[in-house]
Amino acid sequence: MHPILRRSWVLATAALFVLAVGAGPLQAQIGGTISGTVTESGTERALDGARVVVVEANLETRTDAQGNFEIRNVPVGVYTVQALFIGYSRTGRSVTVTLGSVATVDFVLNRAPIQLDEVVVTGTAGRTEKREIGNAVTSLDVSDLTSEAPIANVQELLQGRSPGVTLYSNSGLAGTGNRLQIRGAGSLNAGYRPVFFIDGVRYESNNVALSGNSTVQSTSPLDFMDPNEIERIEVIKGPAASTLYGANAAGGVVQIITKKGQRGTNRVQWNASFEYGQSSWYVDNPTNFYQCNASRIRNSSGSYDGCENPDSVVWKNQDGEQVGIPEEDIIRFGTPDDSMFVVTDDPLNRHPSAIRTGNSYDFKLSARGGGQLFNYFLSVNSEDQEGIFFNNFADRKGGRANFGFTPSGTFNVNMNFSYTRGHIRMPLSDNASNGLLRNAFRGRARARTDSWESGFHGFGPDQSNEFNLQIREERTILGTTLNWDPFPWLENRLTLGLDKYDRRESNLFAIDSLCKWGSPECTGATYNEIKSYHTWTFDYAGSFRADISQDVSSRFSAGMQVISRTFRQFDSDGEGLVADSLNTVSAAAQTFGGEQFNEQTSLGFYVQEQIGFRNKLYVTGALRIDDNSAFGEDFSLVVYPKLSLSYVISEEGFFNVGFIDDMKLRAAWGQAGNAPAPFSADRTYGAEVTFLDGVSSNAVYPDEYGNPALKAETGQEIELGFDAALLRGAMSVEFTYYKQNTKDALMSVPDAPSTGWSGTHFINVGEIQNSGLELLWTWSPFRGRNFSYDLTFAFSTNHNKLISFGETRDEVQFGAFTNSQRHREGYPLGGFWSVDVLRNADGSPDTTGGDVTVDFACSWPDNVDPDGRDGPCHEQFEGPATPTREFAWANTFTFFNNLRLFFNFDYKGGHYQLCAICSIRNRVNQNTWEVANPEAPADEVMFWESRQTVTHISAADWLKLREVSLTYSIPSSWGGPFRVSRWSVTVSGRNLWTTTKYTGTGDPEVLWVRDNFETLDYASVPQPRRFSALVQINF
Amino acid sequence: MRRIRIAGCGRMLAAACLMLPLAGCEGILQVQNPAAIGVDQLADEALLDVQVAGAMKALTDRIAGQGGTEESMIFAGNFLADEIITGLNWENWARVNQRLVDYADGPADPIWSDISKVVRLGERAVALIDSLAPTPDSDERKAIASVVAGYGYVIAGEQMCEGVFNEAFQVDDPDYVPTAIPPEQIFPLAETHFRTAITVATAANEPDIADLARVGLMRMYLNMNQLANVVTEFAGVTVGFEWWLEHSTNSGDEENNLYHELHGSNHTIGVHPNFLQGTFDDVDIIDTQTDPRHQHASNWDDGHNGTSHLYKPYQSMRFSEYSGETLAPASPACPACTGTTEDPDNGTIILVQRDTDVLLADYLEAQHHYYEAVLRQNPSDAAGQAFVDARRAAGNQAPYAGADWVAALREQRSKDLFMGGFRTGDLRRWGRDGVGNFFPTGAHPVPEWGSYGEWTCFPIPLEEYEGSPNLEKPANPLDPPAWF
Repeated sequence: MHPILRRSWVLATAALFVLAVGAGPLQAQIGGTISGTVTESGTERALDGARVVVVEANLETRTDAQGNFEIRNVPVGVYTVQALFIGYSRTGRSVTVTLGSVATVDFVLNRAPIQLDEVVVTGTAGRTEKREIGNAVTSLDVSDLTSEAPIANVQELLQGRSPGVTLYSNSGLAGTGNRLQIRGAGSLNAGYRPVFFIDGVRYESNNVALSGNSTVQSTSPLDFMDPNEIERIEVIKGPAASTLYGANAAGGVVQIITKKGQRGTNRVQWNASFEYGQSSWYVDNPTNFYQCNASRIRNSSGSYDGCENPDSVVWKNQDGEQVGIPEEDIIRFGTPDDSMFVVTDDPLNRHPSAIRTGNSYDFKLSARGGGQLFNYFLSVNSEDQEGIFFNNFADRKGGRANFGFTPSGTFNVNMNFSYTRGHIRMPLSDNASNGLLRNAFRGRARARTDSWESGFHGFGPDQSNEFNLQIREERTILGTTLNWDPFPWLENRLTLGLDKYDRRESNLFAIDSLCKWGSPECTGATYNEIKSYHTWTFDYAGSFRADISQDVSSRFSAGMQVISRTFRQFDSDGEGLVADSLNTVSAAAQTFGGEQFNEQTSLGFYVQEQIGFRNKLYVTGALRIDDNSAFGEDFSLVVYPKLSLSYVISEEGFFNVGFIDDMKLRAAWGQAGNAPAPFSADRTYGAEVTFLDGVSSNAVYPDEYGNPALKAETGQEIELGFDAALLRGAMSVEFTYYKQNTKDALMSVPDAPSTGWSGTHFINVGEIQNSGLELLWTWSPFRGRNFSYDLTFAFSTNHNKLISFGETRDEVQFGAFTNSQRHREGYPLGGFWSVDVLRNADGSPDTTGGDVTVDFACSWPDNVDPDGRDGPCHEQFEGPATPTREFAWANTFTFFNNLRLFFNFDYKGGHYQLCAICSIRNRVNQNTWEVANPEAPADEVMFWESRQTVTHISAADWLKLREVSLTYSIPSSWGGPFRVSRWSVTVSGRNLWTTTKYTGTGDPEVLWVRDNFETLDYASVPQPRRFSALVQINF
Repeated sequence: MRRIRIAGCGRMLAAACLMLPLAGCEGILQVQNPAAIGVDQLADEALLDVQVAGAMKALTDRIAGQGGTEESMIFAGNFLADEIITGLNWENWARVNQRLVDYADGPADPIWSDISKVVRLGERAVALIDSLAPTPDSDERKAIASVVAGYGYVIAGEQMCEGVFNEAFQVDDPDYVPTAIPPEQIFPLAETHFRTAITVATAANEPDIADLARVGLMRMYLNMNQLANVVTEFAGVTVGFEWWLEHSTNSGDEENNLYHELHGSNHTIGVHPNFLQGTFDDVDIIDTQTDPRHQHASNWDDGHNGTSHLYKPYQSMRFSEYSGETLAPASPACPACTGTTEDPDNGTIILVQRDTDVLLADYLEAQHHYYEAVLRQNPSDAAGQAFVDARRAAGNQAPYAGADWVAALREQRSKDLFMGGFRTGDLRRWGRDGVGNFFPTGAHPVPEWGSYGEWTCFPIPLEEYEGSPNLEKPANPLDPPAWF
């Protein structure tokens, strides 16, 4: 760490201490005290973090690790005191407070996994209880999750915990950003992702790619969030629920609510944790083969010297440089003159600087508390993570300060501030020419002395590891929310916020006399990009509550949102650094610069009316009107309607089903949008420079073709479902069926090159459908003092289909290395199609003409082979590229209330994958056994060496033992003089076991996504296995 | 909680009040796009210069890859011919070097896009100059823009199997049905532009531009097999005329694409065995490199794909640092040979550098067009035969002793114009005119690739069909066309 950074972080930690300690008891004794405990029914387990509210006095606090609470300075009087905890039923007691007295009240909470009284974020002002909402909302109690599972970031937090939310892993490198999608691919455009809000402030969450370098993994802004700062996450899944969020919310909305202090606590609750972990490589590598036949052995060019003289080949392993191929790595075939043998190799595992065990260190410290009128939460964190490649790491340092001020019962202000610095080093990966895995998987099994490293196809580890791309990031989030409820029937909320994200990507090439990286990099070069994203949020919401009659209530809401986003990028490059000591752009012999800018603003208004009947039946109708600067000049406003119904049927007198405690039926229909990218409607020229007659001249070129009629695509969804609590809180079921149609889908189409433009532009075309089921089932079959078992099972399906292109085109073909993917009507978006070689009647490859023929030809929609061969197109639909079914099964065993074993399984299936590197290894590098085996039939070798994809596209279902952890909570009596209220020690493992149908290489979960739906397996870095030990201390 | 009643109409009124600001919020949505120029802004006399420069830039990109593009005529545009082999790792591009072309993949799209850009920018600049310039018929800029448009059509005819030429935004009209046309209909589209350029350049007293247009016209007529017109136009070409496409090291954007293809470990091109002055796969090829016009590194090394043996080509006559020296030292067989120390980057025989310029047209090229027209009509023409021997002398070759003077001229043309972006067009023309099929066949020099295919030109790419849905697709776009 840089000394200045280290000093800043130390200062921040010190400041936290000063603030927290200074914010201790500030109030003089003016009333009495209410204290007590909150425990779980059945197990008598203390509930840590339960809210205890003195309703009439507007005071509240949270329990400590022993379940204890204390609220001081409660004015004399009679109060209703309530205890609330997510997953438990609300319990209230009447308490009388007298001057100077201590009133004790203990709460025993029953489990209630479905809480109809739970308050959720809906976009409107004021408190909205779950019972009022007609759509599914998944609430994740993050404070509970982070204490039981090894979760390093928000991406891991969301993985497999909310049915319908799918996380696609792009790479196992430290710092890599993954892709998040809710309820399938609702758009032909990659932008169909959920939008994120943190405490009501819009948060830039899309992965950030490294400009001009597609072979370096993008990073995720979500990694800036420390999971330990998060109180809860709410996932709003589709247009039926996200209408109020407007023209960018069709992909769903994720609300992150950070931790807050509690007023009235009058003491500081500290939490400190330290975690050490190790990440390691655990998947099998493909073995490389090389066939040494007579012609190669006799070859004198030096190209195949491993065949010519295997005893002289120089290679490297953990013991250093070796000479001669070991006999055990040679397969011999008993030819008399030894003129046929096959060499084998696993260069990745043998080479000393290929892969490593990466260490990680994670330190967190937080404090929370509050006085009579205020509350606070302060935290700092530091995380240093090494990747499994030598030139990969991801470090993060940050802090958060949340302050709340409640001067009166009708007005409060919450101010949130967070600042995080990140430092990431990313290697070349996937199909990078100089990437490590690619060159390892394509190597020639030591049979050939390569330019750089024996057994590697090009650069070996020593050369690849020189790649030095570092990303330095800073993120500041400022948010203020004012709540003003001047009357019980009028609630107002105003949120103002800024998300400021700045990053610098710096790629440095040292002077290299061998010129490995080519010119001009080998003369010493530095390439820098400075990117700045600013997102401003203005959000006003107001609600009127009224009773129309004794049984009928009304809640009218209206609001306005402005989201403004700017992006600016500066490029500065220097080439020719002359001396090793130079690494700044200005010091280079030649310098180059550039700047990019774009801006997008959206403006939306909504009105909503909710009618309640006897607090059991709620009907909600809403209308959202949006405009956006990215819409074309020929298009203006867009209107999204919504209608939903919620019916708490279990509170009806006629409902008499003994094993059901609570049950809510719900139905919702609604629309939301997905706006196009900034400036995508504009038809423009760009500026460049050229030389005419030796003179530098400014010039223009066709830049963006644009589309003046561009508008947002519209997602329309209907969802039906129910939430039920059963068996006196021991079981809960949340079930949802959804059907979603996207109309006017945004599709990127090529500019017809004959126009002079040669990029792509968006058009609104066609219709896409997603439908599926979501089930969240929890069950606690055993709950006792000495033993309890809880399981959570999340299951979802998704069936995606392109309904229509709107008669504008037949299909879209795409795919890396081969056009194996299609957007085709009636099939899932990006589905895989395979091609085989032409075959004889007996099924053997047809080798007429001396070689096999791969039959690519197909002309959709005629479905007739245009070459006139028998039958229709020879291509074969294999299946969708995205999972059609997923489940996550989490299990928690608790012994004696202080020893907890947690493990969960994660499954995705129904999808297919193309192993592109398998095809390349066969037909280009010829280093697979199918091709290198000298005894293989000639026609079969031709088949494997062809461009067929029928063997390389395979089902990609996988099941993983995702997380296992064992936590021991040390009794508080051991805290001694340090006033420690709880210690806990956790040992955990992640990605411990995998089984899969996939026949390609590496980790089936990891896919390289090059563009929108274009996915492939091309030497992607697998998820590492991670073991860690965590110590948490509360005091 | 105190409860009140609000009439329904009151709530609707409140909603209406909230909606009122919508009408006044347009200003919030006003955003800046300071990085681009709107199409309408270009109809401005002050911006004519940048549009003409843009057209010339597009032509430079197409021929030589200014700006680092990889689909230039010298590079991927010549993959179908026999000048170079590629060691590109991208299989969809490398297969083109095997004469296997996929309309949905590889360089077909960037090649066609660049050609279209040349035509569109050139023609648009001409139209704007006609409407905005005070004296368009003597405006040098109109002459340049016309030449650019003319060359756009010539290149399209040489490289594309078919072309489709639209006004810029016609494809936005759902009723517009474009038509693809073959080379014999594409070449004539250049004639008007070259004639306009000659007239305007003469009026503007710009003889170089007029010469450039005349050489372009000769190239067009040669491709149309109108040999008499080739002979006629040659009379107007100035002796010693040269027109260079320029590169510079002053900006990172100004890079000859060949620079990237030749330097470093990821280099991607080498000399095809047909032009190698030695035996393919041999090392230390020095003494046999006696012709300075198509020399190459004396040893091969593997290219970008780690598989192909590539002998890096040194600068030929079409490049600005061509020295005329030979790797081979002087000997009885080659007394004019100079010999030099091989240094790929800093010797007198060098690889393409960042600031290497490339000839678009010159008098030597015009001579080749002229004498091909002459000798194909009369192989006994003495001047034609003298030209062949003069060119052989330039390559340290003995005078021609055979009988097929047309073939001898073809050989000299291939060496004089080596890597100048002519070869694919030449091979197609000779095939089209019945002279012979000289495209490479049999086994590709990179054994792993197998045998050559049958493509001789680039198809209209999938992107054109997708961007222009009313354009009718061929029955099977993966089948090579039956014509040259």
